Amino acid sequence: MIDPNLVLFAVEAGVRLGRKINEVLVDETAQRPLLMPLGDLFGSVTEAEAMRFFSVDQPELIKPGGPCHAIKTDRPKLILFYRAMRGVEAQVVAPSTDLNARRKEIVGQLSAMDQFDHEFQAKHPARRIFGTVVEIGVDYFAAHPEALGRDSTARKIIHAFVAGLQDTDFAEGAGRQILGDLLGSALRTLGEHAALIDDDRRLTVMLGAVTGAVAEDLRLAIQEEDEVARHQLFRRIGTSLLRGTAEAFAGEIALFMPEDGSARELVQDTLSQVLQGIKGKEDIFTNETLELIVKSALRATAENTTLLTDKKSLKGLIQRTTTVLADRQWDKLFSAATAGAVLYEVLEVTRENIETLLKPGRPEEQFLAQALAAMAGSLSARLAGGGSIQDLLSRRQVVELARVVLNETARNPELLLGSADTDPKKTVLAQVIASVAKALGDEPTLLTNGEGVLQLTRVALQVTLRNVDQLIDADTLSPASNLLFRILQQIVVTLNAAEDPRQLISRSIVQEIVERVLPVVSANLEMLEAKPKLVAETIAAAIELAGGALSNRINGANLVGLIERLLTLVLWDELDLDDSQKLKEAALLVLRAA
Amino acid sequence: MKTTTRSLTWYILLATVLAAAAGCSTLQYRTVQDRFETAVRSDNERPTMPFTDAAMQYQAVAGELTPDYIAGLDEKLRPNAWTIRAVSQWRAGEFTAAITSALEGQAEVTRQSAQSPHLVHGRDSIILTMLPGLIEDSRLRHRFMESGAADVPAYYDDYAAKFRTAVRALAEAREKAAAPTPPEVMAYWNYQCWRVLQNWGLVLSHLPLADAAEPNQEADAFVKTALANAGLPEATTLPSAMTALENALPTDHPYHQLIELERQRQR
Repeated sequence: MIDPNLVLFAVEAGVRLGRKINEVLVDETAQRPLLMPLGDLFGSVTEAEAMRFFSVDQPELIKPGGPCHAIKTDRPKLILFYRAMRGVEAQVVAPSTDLNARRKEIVGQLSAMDQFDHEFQAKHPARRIFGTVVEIGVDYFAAHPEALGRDSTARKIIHAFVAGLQDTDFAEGAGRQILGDLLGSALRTLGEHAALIDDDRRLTVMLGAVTGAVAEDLRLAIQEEDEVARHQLFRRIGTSLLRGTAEAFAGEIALFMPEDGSARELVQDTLSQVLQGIKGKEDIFTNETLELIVKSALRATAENTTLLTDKKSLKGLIQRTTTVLADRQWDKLFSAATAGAVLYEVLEVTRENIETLLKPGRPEEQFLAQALAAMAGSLSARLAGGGSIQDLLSRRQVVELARVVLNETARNPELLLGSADTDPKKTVLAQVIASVAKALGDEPTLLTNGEGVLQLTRVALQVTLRNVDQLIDADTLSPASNLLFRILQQIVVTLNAAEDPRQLISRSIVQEIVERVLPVVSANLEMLEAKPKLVAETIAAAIELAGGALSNRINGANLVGLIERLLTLVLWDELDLDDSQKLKEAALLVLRAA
Repeated sequence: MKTTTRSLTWYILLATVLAAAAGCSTLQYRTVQDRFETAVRSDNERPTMPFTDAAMQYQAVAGELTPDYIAGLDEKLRPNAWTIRAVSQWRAGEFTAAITSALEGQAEVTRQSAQSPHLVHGRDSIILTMLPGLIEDSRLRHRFMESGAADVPAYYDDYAAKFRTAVRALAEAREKAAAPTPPEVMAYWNYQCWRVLQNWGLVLSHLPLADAAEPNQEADAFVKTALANAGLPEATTLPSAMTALENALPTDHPYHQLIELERQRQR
């Protein structure tokens, strides 16, 4: 007894195939190359040319006295004269029988005209029908998974894969090879996610979304005549797409519930936005970082309704960020080794701070991309020695610094970046980073290293955000006009110039001094107006005590606290540094309390 | 299991055959295309084979492609069917009917272009747009053959007006060319435009030499304007337009060779 469902399937499949055959036949007939008639000539070319020659080009020839006046009504003679004048007599006038034979030969060479240029013609009939046969196969295996063999992970993956493909029209597409690659990747990589493999509906949604996003991207690529490059890209990153998606699904199993039917659309849209977002900049991402990006983008979308409803936000975010990351002027900072990780940080920070970072209807406000541009611009300024501050930073530190900058930006985007049309170099963020970089001088390695730059920037950002209007001069581009810079410079210059026979001033002490001094100064600026060098003088006085009168009381452990407390007293006008006795007494009080 | 598979295959085949049976009218239409192609071959060889009757073959094709027949075809085939009907009527000398068919065909292309935008730039669309111009040219040829060259001085203004109409139609067709247009269609356009201009030049050559300068210059001015809009800026006069059209064809292209061959005929 044959299964009635199988009969229905067979009839449906047959009708589909028959319709496709008919459709292909119609397209092929409508686009069939055709020969078209040549039409007729009224007379000879030479005759027309000759008469124009005498009437327009050389009319004086037929005027009274002209050499052709006597024959002006004799067309054959005028034509002969014209031929002679043009020097064409010798090479022409073959017997008419020869000309007819030649014409017949030429006409025989005429080819039928296509309806459209080959790029716009319907695909090859065999290929189109094959596509439908594959679709029918997809339907069949989805309905009859047992046909795929014994119960195994591979069977489950293939089952989910073909089930996910059912809404993807690839009968006419150019991506069958890519889909084959994706299935291969799925079989190779998904086995490790046991929970996912056992949840066939979720697996179907996931695989359907990945293949759907790839198919949609290829469709757009074909429209833009970019399908070759895209084809190559998918062969490279197909596995990363799958792995990233699988990671997101397996890690956040509750986020992608297939019940409401929107999960596939959500995932497919997100992947499409990621793919469109990195378009043209694909080379700066490795497979590993792309995998992270896909995972992060999916988590961000699943957790945030803003990204769900405004389908261009994610694409815009990725696009703007990758534009900054791929900017050639910042090659040294953002290389292929860091770009993917930085974009991942951008997505993660966005995920955590969506309300402050993405505002519906204001796509121009891409704070994090702006922040990265400001950071890159500030760090790339050349030092007198020929290098730049960015040379101090390792790849890990670049990513770490980006994370610091992005997190601070997410907390205070307007304060750090102003409006969308603010000159990137004038933003508070850029001014803070530039102030730190410039204050470290032309030989920054004397006092700090990459880690130090990172910490100094973090402290400078945190302190500045609590007192922006006092520490940053928003009216000028030069960081030298910022009070922040002047304070930092005093610290750096003083520490550089200090005689330090006991070698108390290590790189970690420098960093600690800045961390402790900067908040104190920022909170007590009044005295600096009258005595702008107070910071330098206080640090110098403390170091001098450490090397002289109180050398037995001061070491690397309490020096920083001493500077901080003395500076507080000075800034409150409770201590006069010129009074050495009072200075010593105050220092002893501080040290005892510590 | 074997029986099940065999039955499944049988059902699929049966349903396929039934569904594909809808393609019968398309298969029949392909035979009309074949007959049209035969007629075109006869037509193109006519100057060298005087006893072929291409006109009758064209009439048979046009007679089969009635408006009702075309309406019964799959809509994707209709622009092509109107093209074949219009071209057949043109070559059979049924000029008024040919223009009607060409316009019907253009309307069909416009109607379908919402779904298939590149249809406007395809072969059929461009030929349908050229046809009114080619038909005007043929009408003038009939008049020229019937009334003789002696008729030209008295009625040159009529000739000129119709040639202008013909060139305008060709220029309009040229403006439809875009990326989907096959190069061979552009070659056909170049040749047909060259041919119409040559015919105009030939008619001009039958004006009395002393009176021909001004009409030639008027023709030059018109050609310059009309063909500049059609992407031939170097066409400043009628002869330079013909040269530009000839040069637009590769030297080994049959149309280019036909033009060269025509230059070798004395009269």
